[in-house]
Amino acid sequence: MTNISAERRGSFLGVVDRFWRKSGYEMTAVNNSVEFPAIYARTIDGYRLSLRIGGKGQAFFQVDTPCVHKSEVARSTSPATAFLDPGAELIPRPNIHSDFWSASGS
Amino acid sequence: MSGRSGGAGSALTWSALREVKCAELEQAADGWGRVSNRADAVRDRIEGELLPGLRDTQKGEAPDAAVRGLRRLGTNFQYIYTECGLLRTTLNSLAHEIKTQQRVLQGALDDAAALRFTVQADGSVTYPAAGEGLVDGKPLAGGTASGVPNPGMVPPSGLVAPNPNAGKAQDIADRVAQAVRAAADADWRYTRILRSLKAHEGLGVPVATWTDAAADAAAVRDAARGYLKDAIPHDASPAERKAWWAGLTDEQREEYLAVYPDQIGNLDGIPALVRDAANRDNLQLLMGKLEGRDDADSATKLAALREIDRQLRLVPEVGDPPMYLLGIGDQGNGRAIVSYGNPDTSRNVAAYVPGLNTSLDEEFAEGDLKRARDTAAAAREIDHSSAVITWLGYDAPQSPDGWNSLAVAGTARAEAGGRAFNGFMAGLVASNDHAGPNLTAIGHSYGSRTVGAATQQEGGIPGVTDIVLVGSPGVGVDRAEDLGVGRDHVYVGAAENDVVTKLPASEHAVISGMGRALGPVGSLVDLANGGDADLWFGTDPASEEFGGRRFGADDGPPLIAPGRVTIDAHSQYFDPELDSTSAGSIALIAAGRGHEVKQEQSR
Repeated sequence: MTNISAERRGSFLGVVDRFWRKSGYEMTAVNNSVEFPAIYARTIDGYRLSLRIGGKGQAFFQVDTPCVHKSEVARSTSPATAFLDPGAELIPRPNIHSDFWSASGS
Repeated sequence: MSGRSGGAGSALTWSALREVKCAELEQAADGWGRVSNRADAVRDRIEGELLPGLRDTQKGEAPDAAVRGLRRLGTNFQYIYTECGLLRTTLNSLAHEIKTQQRVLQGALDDAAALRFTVQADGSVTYPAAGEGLVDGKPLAGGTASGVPNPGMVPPSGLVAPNPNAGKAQDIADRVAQAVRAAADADWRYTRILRSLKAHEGLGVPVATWTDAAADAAAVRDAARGYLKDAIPHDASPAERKAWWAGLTDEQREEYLAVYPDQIGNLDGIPALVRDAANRDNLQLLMGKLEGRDDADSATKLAALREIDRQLRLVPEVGDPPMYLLGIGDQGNGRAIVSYGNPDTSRNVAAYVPGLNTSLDEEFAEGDLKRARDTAAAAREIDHSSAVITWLGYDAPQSPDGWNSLAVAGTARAEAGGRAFNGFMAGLVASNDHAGPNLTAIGHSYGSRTVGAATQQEGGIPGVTDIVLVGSPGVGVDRAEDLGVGRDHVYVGAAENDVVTKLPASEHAVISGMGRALGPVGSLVDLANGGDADLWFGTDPASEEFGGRRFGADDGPPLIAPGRVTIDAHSQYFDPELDSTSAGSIALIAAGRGHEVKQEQSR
């Protein structure tokens, strides 16, 4: 996973924010926190999206469907894109450097 | 001697009592203890290594059958662990009681020897001539005194034996008789218990066997009261309890865990890992106990316990916070305290207090536990060292008759719950490894009133640094700063359509009329007026006057939607799917980063 430096977090969320608005999503909340910024949106048909920055600049993207009847949902079968120790308790923090997204300073 | 017909010890003599080798009983106890430990280790290995390994690597019918077989084997070993642990304590406890009576007997024999009295085989005491006759001045003749097991039960004859040795001999004979009687009684009681500690035939561990194990545990507990339980420091501070536990030998800890999982598991100050181990065993025994009953209350609690048991057995995926059972019980409306993430090793620990209508039922085991699990997962995205707890450690008010019950419940439940919550939080402060952990109290609905009550008791909530109030009908104080953590550490979530956050002060409330006709939920229609900062239990925490930090929450569905009346807006603050803004804010606070929460305009 790619490190997103504190300096790049604003622009990262900004890019996504602009795309969501252009797609006609309604922005429901924005948290401008420097360390843990987050944006929340809702689509016309009721899907909810969020993009949040967690600890160590880790990004979390989430999409939720509108109400459906409760049913069994199978676990995702797609393998993780990075190595994941099957016995690990926690998802590892980002560890890949990108010259752009991980850059500090301007 | 004891006169109890059929008593196994009715033929016991003092010389036989003196010769009983208690060390042999204790050695036998140690042997059962070793078997118990080995069974526990094997169960751990089956459930912790073999089952997950098999499930992760193999698919198909054969592995499924193997998983079922291993599960049964794990249950067998758990049963062996429980019963052998009980056997061990029964034998130790018997040895303890016999040794006590041996000491009483030895004291009497020593006194007799010092006075040159003779203790006869039947326990009577022969004494020599002594004193002075009233008539002739000659020493009075010696004699024999027979012991009475219960001296108080025999009325005094009114005649005093003139020989001064007679009284002393009588006292010695009484003590010998009492020791023999008490030892025979213990022998009789323990014989019955040991006979009942038997498994059913065959390899299966059916429900009846667990019901039986629950009864066994109760019987051993009852018998071992003098040996073990009196030492459990119920009245000590959590820090003292932690020190008490740390000072026990491994053998002592094993015995407490085997015989009193319910006491150790729910004792604030004991390490989380120990409480979890004790409560997982206690859960099996509680399910066994409730399975033996057929009333509706037991069935409701049993369904909740089964769901908790199911969740405890799931193998967590990467990223799922691990589950710890910190408390479980069937008293009152039921008790359950579940932590997601280890509350002792985590730097940030939040405890959520549920409110109105919460009890140990299936809805709680699914919904209320999910709130802590979701919050923990999100908090750990912020800071890995975070844990979130659902704390059902009190009887929350139930509302079979709509909000009338709230008026009836008043604040008594909150006061009692607040005391219990403070005890639990003091336990966390004692057991947490960090010098200054971030401790957050989260109150939802009536639970916020309970948290409010806890802050007003002496010393406030131990260690708490932040307070979250969601869906609150008022907390009993009018200003955020009165909660004792500083007003900028008080966070409030109140959804626009959450009618509970708009219940007017009770003196204004009129619970009647049209809304009532709609049923329990309908009575809310009459109540909700809004526009006034005076709520049921005091100033609206979301108001400007209260002065807390309000965070955003989804409006939620309106109370009166087309074709239905719903209070769902009261129930989605923790839900990352339905209200990600509120859930995300609660997670930030739980992770100790509350000041990064985006603030919302007060009402």
